[in-house]
Amino acid sequence: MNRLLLILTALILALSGQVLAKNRCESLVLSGGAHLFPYFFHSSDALPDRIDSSTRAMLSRRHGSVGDTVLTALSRAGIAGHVAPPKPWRRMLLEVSRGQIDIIAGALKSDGRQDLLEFSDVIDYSEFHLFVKSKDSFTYRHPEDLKGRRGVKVLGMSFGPEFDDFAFNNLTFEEVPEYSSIFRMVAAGRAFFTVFHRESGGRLVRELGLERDLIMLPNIVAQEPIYVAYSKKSPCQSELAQVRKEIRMMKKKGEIERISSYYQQFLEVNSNREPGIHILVGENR
Amino acid sequence: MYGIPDGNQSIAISASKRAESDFKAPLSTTVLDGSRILRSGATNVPEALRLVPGLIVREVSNGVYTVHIRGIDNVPPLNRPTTLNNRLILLMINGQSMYDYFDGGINWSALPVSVENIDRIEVIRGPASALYGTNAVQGVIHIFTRKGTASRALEISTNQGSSGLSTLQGAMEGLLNDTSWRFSGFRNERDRHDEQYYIYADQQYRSAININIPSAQGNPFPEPDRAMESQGLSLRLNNPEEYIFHYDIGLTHQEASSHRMYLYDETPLSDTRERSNTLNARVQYGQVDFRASYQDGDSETSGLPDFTTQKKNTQASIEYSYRLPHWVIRPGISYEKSRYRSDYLGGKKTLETRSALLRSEYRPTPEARIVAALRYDDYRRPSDGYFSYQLLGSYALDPQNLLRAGVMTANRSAFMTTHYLELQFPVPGVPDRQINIESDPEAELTKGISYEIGWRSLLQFNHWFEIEAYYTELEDFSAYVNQGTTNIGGTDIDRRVLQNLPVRAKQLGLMFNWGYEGVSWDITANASWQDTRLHNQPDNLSSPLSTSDIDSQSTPEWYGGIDISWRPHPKWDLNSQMYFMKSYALLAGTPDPLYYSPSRWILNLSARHTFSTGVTGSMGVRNLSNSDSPQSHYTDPTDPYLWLGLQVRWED
Repeated sequence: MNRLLLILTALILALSGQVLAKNRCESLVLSGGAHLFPYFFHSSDALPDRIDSSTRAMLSRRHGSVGDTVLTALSRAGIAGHVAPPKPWRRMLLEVSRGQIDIIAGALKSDGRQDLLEFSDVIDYSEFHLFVKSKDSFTYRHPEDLKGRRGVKVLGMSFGPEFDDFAFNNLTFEEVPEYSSIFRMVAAGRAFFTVFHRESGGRLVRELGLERDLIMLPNIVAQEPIYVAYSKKSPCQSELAQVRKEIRMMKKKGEIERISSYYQQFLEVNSNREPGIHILVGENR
Repeated sequence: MYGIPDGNQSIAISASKRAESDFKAPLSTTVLDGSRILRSGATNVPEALRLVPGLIVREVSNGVYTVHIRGIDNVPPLNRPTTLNNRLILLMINGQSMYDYFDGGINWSALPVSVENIDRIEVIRGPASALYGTNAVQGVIHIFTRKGTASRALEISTNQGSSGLSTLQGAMEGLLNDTSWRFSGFRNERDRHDEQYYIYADQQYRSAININIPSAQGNPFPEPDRAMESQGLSLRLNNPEEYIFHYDIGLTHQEASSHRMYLYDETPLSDTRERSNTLNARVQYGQVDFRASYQDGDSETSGLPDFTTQKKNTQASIEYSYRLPHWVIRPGISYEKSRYRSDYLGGKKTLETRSALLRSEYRPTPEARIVAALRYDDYRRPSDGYFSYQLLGSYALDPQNLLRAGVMTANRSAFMTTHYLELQFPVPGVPDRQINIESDPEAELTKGISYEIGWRSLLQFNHWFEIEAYYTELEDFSAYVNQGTTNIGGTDIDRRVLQNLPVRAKQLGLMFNWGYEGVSWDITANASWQDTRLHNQPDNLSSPLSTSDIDSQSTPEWYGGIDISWRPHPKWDLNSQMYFMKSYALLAGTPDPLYYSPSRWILNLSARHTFSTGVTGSMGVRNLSNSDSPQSHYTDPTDPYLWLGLQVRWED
């Protein structure tokens, strides 16, 4: 009798677990960095200040190039997508590690993150640009142009293996813990240049009130591939497999590139590459 | 998110004199963040240091502590209980050494800083003289205080509890043009759990009114119920660090009185008072780093008016950081002068050191780092020069695993009671008998060498551990050795002469530190094991010395702690901190030299609740333990106490 009760209880628990998991997986939770425009934004409130109200209205139902890609793939797979409210990056990783967030729409790849996340093919590229004092503006063509000039970067920050390798062997970088410090040090003359993501760098410069002191050079220094990252701890692995399949198909059909090009119009500085510019790319397109 | 490592890393500055991730620091390093200190419910610096692996923190009286790093110290000299205080740690506040050159060591009750005013504490375990000079033999504890922020703010916090616990702290801060300022003040009080004092001659605790201490002139214990009280004011002014010309100036005033292990030979505790004013300034121009400080103060011990001492300490250093691809080279020079005036010393005495250092860091590959640092300290007393060095290497197997190894040397400084003492005094109550105490101005300074290997691993961004093993040797301890009695002119004279001891202390140790961070909770745990052997340890301090090899029992074989933090609700933060020490036996030159302390655990519980933005309430209980016996040599027993706290911050 006792054994029968035990089996029945186990059966009920297993079934209820399946039902719960099924309900949970009818809608997948996605999130992304709080300042990752144009690749991801939670809502139009998170758009950069410089974007006017009509454009805001236009983008109000969108979530950036990678966010839109994920939502389109979810829709095609017949799965609802729920964009989680913005959270600090570390908190988001903790929730990913517990399977509370299923997808990160826009992440750079690193060895540590691969323990936690499964990465898609490359979805887009984040561009690194040089920020220098306005009066020190020059035409950047090649990393060799930076030789003999003192740079500053955020502690431990990577610009992709190719640029990192060049910098290690040829450049002098001071490393500081705060994002804001790198721009302030360039403005104060403590360093000649810093390298940072185009959009978020421009936003930080404005937030620090340094837009008159600093200029972002238009030519790209390096690119880092951006991926969709899937939680390995998500209870909805079969649904994630469908999303992965849809994203691969979208990439094959060029749809992802079209979504990405749509967002190019909103970028801060047009980085049309001049002939002869050497761009360091973290991973071939 | 931006390509920055996600791991649980803090920024460490002290291990390389520039910002780096503590995961990559080439020395054994722990960074204790100010917010973690407050969360733990610690109300003073030594209590906070119980959160740091490899530290042995013993309570002497309520709120009065001794702190040891790894514990291969205070073992060989047998002459006085004072030697149980640590004289081999360098404590710095914002780069300024707080070492006491009168009798060596640190008065932990007289720090001009409250826990609320601490930004972070960085601890380096192991010798670091090549970086910071003399006295960094067992390690460095570097306190960074808070700077003013861009917004105007006013904060007040208080803790009130049983056993006379009362703390009050206030601070104002703001921005004036480019200069941020922060003005803060604090007052701390603690009562003793018991008003009795242990008398070595009687081998028992006695009430203060029944104490007869022959060497005391007047009342040695005017306030037997008060364990400690301290108060201080500080002003800090600085412009942004990012500027080419950066300044950071601090002015502090502090007053403290406490029952601590100090000068008396008849009883472990002395009632001491200390006052000081300090100016500490750092100026950076580009890559040139200049620092200067001046401290003016006095100290006194109840019942010992001859020991009233005025001190003036001056420190200055200039270093330059030169960077090339693969290389960072940092040459520098420094100067330190300590003047003490006291009847006991026979007037004004001066210690002076001139130093030169060169630190070079080479990275042959992005994964590998080799650090070589050499420092030369030229002392006026003893008239000798000492080299100290560091040779360190680290290799990142991958971004999650770092191996490191190193060999480091260090030496202690001279201080007044070892290198300047010339005393002749009659033995109280014994006619025609005199004691002569003769220091040795040329006595060798205690020095040591340490070999370390370590492995740090980030199992995941929120899960890490570190393991390190070390072997340390110390030599050239010194003590006053009884040379026997000679009769000169009808007076028996006992001569006690400072001399270096043949003892060599050898310690083998292991440290394990582990941490895990969850969504609403985190846990850290650490444990240290050590085995210390003393070769040629004198059996007593009478000439000629007879020696033997012994296992030192003065440091617990095992010690460590577990810290758990749980945030069940965004407004609630619950913290449990357990510290444990295995049994140990402290040895001092007293009639009952051996003090046995049983194995003990000490549990501190605290809860914090955020009522609204800027208003936090807290409560807790500290010192829950399986043993209330004294943690140090016949000092005060420890009792649990309850406390309630309130923290308010208004901000523009």
